[in-house]
Amino acid sequence: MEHRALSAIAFAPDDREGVPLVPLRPADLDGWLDAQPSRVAAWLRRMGFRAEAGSWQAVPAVDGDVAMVVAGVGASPDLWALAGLPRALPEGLDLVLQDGAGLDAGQVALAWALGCYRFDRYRPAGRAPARLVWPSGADRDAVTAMAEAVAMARDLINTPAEDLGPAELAAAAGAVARAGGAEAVTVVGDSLCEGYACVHMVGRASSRAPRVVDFSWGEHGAPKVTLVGKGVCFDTGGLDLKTAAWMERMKKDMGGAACVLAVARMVIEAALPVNLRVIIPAVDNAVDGNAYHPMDIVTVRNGMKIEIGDTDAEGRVILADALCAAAEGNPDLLIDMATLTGDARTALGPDIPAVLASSDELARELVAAGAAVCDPLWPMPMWKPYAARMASDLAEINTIADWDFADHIHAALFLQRFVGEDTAWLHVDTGCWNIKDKPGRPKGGEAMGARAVFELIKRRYGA
Amino acid sequence: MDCFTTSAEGAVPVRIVTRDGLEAWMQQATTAEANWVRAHKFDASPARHIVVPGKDGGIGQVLVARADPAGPFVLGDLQGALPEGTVVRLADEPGVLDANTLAIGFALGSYRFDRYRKAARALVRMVSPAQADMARVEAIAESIALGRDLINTPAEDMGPAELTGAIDALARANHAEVRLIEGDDLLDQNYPSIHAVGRASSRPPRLIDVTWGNPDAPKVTLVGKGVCFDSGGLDLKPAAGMKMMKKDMGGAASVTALASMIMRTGLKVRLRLLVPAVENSVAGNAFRPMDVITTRKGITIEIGNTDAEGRVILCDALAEACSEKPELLIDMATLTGAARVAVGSELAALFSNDDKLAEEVMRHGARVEDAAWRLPLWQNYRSMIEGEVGEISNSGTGPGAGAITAALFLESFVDKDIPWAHFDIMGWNNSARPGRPKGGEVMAVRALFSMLEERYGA
Repeated sequence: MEHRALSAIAFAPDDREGVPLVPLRPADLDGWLDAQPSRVAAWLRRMGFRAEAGSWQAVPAVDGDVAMVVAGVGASPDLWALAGLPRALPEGLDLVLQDGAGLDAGQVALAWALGCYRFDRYRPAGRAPARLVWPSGADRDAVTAMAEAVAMARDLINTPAEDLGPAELAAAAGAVARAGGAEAVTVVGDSLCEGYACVHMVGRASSRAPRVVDFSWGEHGAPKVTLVGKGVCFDTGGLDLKTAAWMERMKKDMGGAACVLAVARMVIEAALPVNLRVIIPAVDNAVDGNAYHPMDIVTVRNGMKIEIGDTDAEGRVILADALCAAAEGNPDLLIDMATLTGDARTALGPDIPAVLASSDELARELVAAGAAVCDPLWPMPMWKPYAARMASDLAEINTIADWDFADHIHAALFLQRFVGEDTAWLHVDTGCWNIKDKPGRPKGGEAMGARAVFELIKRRYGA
Repeated sequence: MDCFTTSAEGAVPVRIVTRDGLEAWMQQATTAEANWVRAHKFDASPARHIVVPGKDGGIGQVLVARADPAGPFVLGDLQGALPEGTVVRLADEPGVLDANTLAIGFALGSYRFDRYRKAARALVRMVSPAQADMARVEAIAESIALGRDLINTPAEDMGPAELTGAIDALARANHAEVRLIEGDDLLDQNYPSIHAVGRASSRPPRLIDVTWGNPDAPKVTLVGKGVCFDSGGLDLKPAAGMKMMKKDMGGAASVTALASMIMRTGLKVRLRLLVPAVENSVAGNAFRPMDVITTRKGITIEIGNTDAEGRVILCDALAEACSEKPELLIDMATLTGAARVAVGSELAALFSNDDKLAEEVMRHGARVEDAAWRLPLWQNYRSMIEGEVGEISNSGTGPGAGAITAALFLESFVDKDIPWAHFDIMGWNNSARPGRPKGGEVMAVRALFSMLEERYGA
């Protein structure tokens, strides 16, 4: 996918003489003002600048130029403290970050780059962001790699389904593999009937053939980390057709795949000492004469027979095959990411993906990693007694439960049947969509959970 | 309690076995007994039982399988598993199993609500185990039965007066002090939110305020949502959503059951119980969407939805609860459908401003199989409850996170330095499980009592 690298639009050349950018906490403001020339202090007081989070104020030079910019970061600044500035400050302004407020240069740079993101494939972005001169101390390669990985995921999610079908998603995965010197294997269409019958069944109704992409990267002896991402390029719901309000955003239903590709990119660019494997089942959940039906029974890759309770619970069906394939490789850590259930959103709202895992400790580990990098998640219970509610009359398990509660828990209990009890496994049920603009996180597709997952892998296996 | 007896004559021995224990039992059993057990493929998988014939055509003994380690409901299904009127006794010294726990589990499984029709069968009774502290067993089991009764009673017979009447009776029996504020007195005494929600009913709103225990002991305050029937108000519920709304005082019933356990077992606390009791009705004087109420705490709240009434009545009670700085503040409420979607109906959703308290609750919940799961007080979602005219709206804009935004609303009325736990509960068993018959249920109460007993027990 073509797009201008974020680092190219976010950062000014090193030789630029930029305007000082002063980050300030409310508690530090008065002391700082007292040390400024009186006209600077008077101006900022006159304009009511109080260093609240997200606030900023330009200070005039005698000639009317911008002499400096002060930016409020609030009492306890996080990653996003300055991330709203690239689009808020005047176009053409170049800034030099000053020390203060305890901000980390690398974090500021990453947030700045992510704050410059716009999806401009179909119309120009409108304005250029204000640029930051690379702050000293920032690891440029690491910042660039992470920003580009997130931007890639956002692009994939934001791209309309018409232009991002199973083939295009598979191609994006292939590109990530190739950039790491690996080669992806893709199984397409009727070839899926051997080993990926569920993926085939869900995806067969689309004019765009379903497929499974599979690639590995890294040293053979290294710890094996396997990522699985749900790649439903558009989810109509199938015969259990969604209503218009629920169908509208379903181009984002490959968000899990976009996230794991972003994680894969981060791992590859950071050259983490792991043996990475990525598996993405990519389908459209479409309606056609040959669409799969409610109460159909399909055999998963591990031989288990599952009954389709609702064709709109298709994500767990394609993941079943993919997780079996992943588990066959005996990974040290298996992580899947998926825009799986509306109930996870009802439970935790739009900003917090749900984590369910083979153990509470593992879930907490991911949540802690996410908190450290401002990519929040929350653990939800693998509540075994609820499994009885997925009993099938004819097959071993139904894809949905017999009540309207806790579908995210049921989905995770379902998936664990294919992962096996012994595999260290994390399941991330993520929304992958910013419902409104927030600093550094423009409305639209978002790699929710991806930076957290990378942080976890880095903490566990990093050199 | 009716399900216990002291007369052991003719009592059928009940033997609790693990898989390994079954092997040993088979060694010493008669051939007939062993054949019978084999013929029924009884393998001691948890929750199974088998009735073993005696020589004379009677019941020789009952084998009940248990998991290892055993949960609290090993005998929770025994009541329904045996012919009516059977008297049983524990066959062995309980050993690793605690006789109190076994007896409580049996009693909880023996609960039935027979106010409106006679029970179809005579109770199976258990000989009070010698090792059990029966006063304690009955204190706990009867407290839970009281809570279940309150929930199961139809709204017609369980209005604000009856709910506070039941609490008043409990308080008096335990020599507690009671203050009751009713109707327009709620306005005079500055409980405007409780009054606003309850004023449309022909049955006036009330606040009951119970204090018990040594005034110098640590203060533990319980607040429970007592909406005796929730029609939704002007934002009227559809029939499917309204049907079960006699249970909307489940939080009040739960804290009442917990208070009953605390008082009857004599925990070393100064207990305070606050229950706002109202009916959310429709009438000419009903509170309306977009009304603004100046609450007891002074915060103005905007009514985004009259069917989010629980948090409105709770806010005045929580403000009052904080006025004497308790060491622990707990509220329980059947508050949101979103909490059920989040954790299902068998788990309580827990919110707390105190990590240690939350961990303590979850630890005890897991131990006594009365589990709570913590959800986040996610401050970024405060923007979802900003009012347009008032300071806070009682309904979140979403999308999603309805249980979280309700908890954030309540948090606004709790002083930051008071350890506080909020339970968003179902108050109802959708289906029967061992020890937990279908119908009204006080959830997270056994977990909380276990925690309080560890903290404040004799």
